[in-house]
Amino acid sequence: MHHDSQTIFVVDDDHAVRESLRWLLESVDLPVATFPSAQSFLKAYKSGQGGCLILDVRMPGMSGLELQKRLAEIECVLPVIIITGHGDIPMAVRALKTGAIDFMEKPFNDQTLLERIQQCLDLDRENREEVLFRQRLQNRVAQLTPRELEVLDGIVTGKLNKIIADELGISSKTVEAHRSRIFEKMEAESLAELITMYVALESTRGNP
Amino acid sequence: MGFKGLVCKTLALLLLTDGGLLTVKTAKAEIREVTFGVLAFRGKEHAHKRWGATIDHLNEEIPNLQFVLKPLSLEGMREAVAHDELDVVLTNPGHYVELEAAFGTTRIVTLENLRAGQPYTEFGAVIISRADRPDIRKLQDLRGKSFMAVNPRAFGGYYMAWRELKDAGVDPGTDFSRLVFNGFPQDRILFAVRDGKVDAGTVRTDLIESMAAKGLIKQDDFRILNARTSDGFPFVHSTRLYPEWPLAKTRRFPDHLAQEVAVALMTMDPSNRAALQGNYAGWTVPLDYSRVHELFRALGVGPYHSLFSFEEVVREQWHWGLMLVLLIVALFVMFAYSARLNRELKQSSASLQRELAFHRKAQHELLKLSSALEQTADTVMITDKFGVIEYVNPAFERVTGFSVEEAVGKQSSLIKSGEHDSAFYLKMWETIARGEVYRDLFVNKRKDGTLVYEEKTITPLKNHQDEIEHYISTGKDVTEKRTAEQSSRQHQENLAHVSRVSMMGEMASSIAHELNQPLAAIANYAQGCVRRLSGDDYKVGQIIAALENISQQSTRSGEIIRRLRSFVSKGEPKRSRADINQIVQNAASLAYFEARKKGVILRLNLGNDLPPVNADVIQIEQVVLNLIRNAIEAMAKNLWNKRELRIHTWCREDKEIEVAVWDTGHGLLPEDHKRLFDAFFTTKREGMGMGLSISRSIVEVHGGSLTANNNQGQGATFRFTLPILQDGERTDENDVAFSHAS
Repeated sequence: MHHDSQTIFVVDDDHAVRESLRWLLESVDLPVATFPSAQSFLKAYKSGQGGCLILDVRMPGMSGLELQKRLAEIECVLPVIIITGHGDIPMAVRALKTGAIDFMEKPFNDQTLLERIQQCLDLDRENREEVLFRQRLQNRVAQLTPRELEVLDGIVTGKLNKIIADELGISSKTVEAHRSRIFEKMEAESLAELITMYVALESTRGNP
Repeated sequence: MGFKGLVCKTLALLLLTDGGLLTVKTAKAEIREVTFGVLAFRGKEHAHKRWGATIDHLNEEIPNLQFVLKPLSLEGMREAVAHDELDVVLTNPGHYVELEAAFGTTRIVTLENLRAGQPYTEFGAVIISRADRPDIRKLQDLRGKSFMAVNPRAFGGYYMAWRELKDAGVDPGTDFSRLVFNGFPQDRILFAVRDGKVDAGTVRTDLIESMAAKGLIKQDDFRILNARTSDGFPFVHSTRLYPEWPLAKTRRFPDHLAQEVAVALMTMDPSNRAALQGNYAGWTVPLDYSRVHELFRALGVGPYHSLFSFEEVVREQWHWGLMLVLLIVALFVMFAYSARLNRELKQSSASLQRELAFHRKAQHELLKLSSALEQTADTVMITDKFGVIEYVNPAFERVTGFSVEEAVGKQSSLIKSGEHDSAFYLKMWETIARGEVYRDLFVNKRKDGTLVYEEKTITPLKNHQDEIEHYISTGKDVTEKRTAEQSSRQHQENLAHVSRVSMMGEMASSIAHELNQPLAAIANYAQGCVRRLSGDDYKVGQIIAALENISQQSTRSGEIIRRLRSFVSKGEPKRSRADINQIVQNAASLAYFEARKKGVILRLNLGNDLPPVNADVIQIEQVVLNLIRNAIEAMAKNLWNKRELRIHTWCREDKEIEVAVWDTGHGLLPEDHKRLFDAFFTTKREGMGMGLSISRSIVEVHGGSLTANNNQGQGATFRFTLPILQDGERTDENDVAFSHAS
């Protein structure tokens, strides 16, 4: 039902709310970690840990909204569900603007909460798989020589070997040789696959 | 507007459900006349018609005050306030701000006006022209045109429009071809614009709508320039909105009476005759008039015109001149008198004086002895050793209503009221039979059956053989003092109650938040149980533990509600043996909601083994809660520094308990420090400004004191003291006489 390394992090200063959430989430076998304050969560969280974050917006010390800002600073991509005892619209808008995926008022319906958590976990998995995929691609690109990179640019923009050869001032045969090494190093089966990889990398470069 | 409305409604609702009649009935016989000045912009007759019933209402609700309505013009009212002729004034916000700046007039409530059947606490003005004038579409088009307003000093009738014109770059003083002030009523301005006598004009909001509804004008004939709308305000307006008319007290009107007026008005029902005849919905906590100040600042008029007008300086000097003349006359008279005395003294010889003094003294002593018993204001009763009355003095006759003939020969139990139990009399007889003096407060009965409170001293009189032959009982009638004390306690409790209810109204939203916490926990535990029990993999012990948590959390919700109810309840003021730490904890748990919401850390540092105090628990809780809320409020704007609130309790010199509320807020401004404890003084937008004044009076009635000062670094500390309960001190729990009397 859930990813092995995914944990539900619950941050609420109210002991009863915290522990009752643990009781509810553990009833559907979700691993839960609870924290009484934003600071204690930040201290315990290790970057790369997967799952989702359930946050109360109003807490003394550091509010849920401030914690969200801090998480963005440390590039934590955990999806966030904001919970509140008595929310108003401006607060919900602020929460969603700072990247929370949901805003729920206490007391909440368990079905709705569990559905939202499931969505968060799926999102988290996708987020992290994408990160891994990009990392692999970057490793492969790193093996390409400068000349191969130039040829790659030509291939993906749909240029014929002859034209690439003319532009780079080399023979078509050499281009052909570069081309097969590129497919080998990038572990691409087809031109279509190579283009998909290139686009994924471009988006990383354009959106660091 | 929305939130304010909610608070007021909550307040009204709580008052209604409590069934609380907050009328303050004081037993004092003397009636004070209260001059109630009202701005009569439509003439005296209209003012009497509109406000007469409000005056009747106040006279009914506050029997010890006699309100007299005095309709006045703008200038007339200023003059009357300057000469100290008024107690309270009801006037437009602009004029109020002028009076506040010049004479220290302080607002106590704000009018909730009725427009199109709905209550509003704000109003504005419209700037109008004929709808068929193509050349006038915006404010700038008014340059070179003629303009009509009601009065050069009218707030809604001129200043509001002036400010918008000024913002638009139009100077009414130079840019109009003609500026006409037509006088009240404003209706005439509408007719003049419609009939083309002037190009444009200004009137207050809703006048067009209400005159159109009466069929006097057609709304379509007019164009509203600079038209805008606001949430919660139904009428189109050209200007910003400003708070409605305030009722304010002048310097000569004492705070405690102003509080009675505020309570009587704020608890008024919209269906009250006063509200119907005055065409208003009621009265609410005084609003913030800083917007009006801004207007005056922007226009450089009113209090910002210049610090001293020539006229005022002359008036001031004239007063000093008069005082100087009076002083010289008084000095002259005194010189003449002392010169004459000196002459007379020289004429009489020293020996004559001595003899005269001796004679006078002897005569005086004799008179004193012979008439002491007859003349004294204290009651005197002499009985034989069996308690049979042998003598009573005239004071006794006066106080009890029994004549000498009716009393002498009867048992002293003649005036027994039945309010004391037999143990009380037994203790008295045992004491005096031993030959000792007995002192206590007696509740006795007059001839007409009413009760009389007497502080009595009973002394046994012995003969030469050292046997008791008579008892002499002297008593001081303290009935009036006790009634007055009770009524002032009652008055204070009424005020404190209004303030508690209003405080809870303001806190309603954070309390709702806090109540949701245990409810959320209960829902989570219950849903977790359902899911586990629907499967088959569960342990009974775990389910039981969860159910126990549910039960705990429902107790927690119940506790919150119970605490709230007891806090807003309106009981008899009651002193009991109380633990100050318990009181502080209760107040802190009510305030915890708000602290959490505002991100404030609340720390309690409570002394160990503190001796008990003799206190009304609810009222002291109110004081603590009030101080906590002020501190939280003071820290709300603290963006960078830590928001921390600490409460300390400790015992000082085995005499008193001190409670200190320490914060890291903005501290106290020197100019606010002086007025901090005045009623109706507030630096907050919301609230009555009565919290600290009530808190101080509560603490003082308890025999303590409330003070405030700034911390060394940041923030302020408020401290109050309460004397510790002495052994044998009466509390209301063991004060038989008191509970019988109430």
